[in-house]
Amino acid sequence: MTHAPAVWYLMRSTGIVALVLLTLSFGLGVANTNRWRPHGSRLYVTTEIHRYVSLLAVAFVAVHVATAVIDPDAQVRTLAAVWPFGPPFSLALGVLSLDLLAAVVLTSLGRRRLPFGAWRAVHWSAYAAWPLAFVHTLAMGTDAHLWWLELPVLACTAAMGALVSWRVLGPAV
Amino acid sequence: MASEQRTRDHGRIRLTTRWLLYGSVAATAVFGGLAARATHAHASNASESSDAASRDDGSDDSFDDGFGGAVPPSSSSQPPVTQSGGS
Repeated sequence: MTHAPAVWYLMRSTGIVALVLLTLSFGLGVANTNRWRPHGSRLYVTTEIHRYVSLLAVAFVAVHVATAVIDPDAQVRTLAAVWPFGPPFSLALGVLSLDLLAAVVLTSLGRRRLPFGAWRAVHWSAYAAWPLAFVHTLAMGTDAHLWWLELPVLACTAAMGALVSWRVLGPAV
Repeated sequence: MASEQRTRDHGRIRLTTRWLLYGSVAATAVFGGLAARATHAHASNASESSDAASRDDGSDDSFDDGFGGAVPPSSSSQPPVTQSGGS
């Protein structure tokens, strides 16, 4: 048994919720690009919710990473939580996803000071952050073969497929 | 008219973000509970298996209960076994 079970359970649960929120954020980003908005609302409603969900996803990823570092059984060192070139490979994928997400959020927070092209180029890396987080979940996740993890992961995968199709087939922006 | 629209939009944003936060926290609690249950199920199954193995004096190390990996890598908290006797 682990030294701090609550921390270990929190690490696992925040990881799953972060993946779901990341998918939702991705969906709202695509919706925003395709100029979709709730009935009777202006477009900035979609933009604001997309922004909020992205920050919420980052908050959950932060808790996920912090608990991974705190939990003695996870054996993740502080440097390994941000440096994506160390073993194991499945951890490196998660760290790379985290770094890309951090870059997307930081450039979005300072968007007004950046050229649009630079912001957009960094924002495109969100497309890489999701599959990295997905593979990290399945490869590193302790519960990868349990139904309650497989179910949300499958739902997220289906949603991502639909969203990418919507983005590709949607209006060119 | 524009001010009404703005108020309505802000209300929608506030309501949606609030429920997203509550939903995320609730989902974390639910998944945490499921993780705890899987861990305890694995631990009790592993314990039963260990008892059975010791009764049978078996040497099957490949026990798999379907929860494989649901327990963290255990730290070696037990003291090392010393070879006694034979002197």
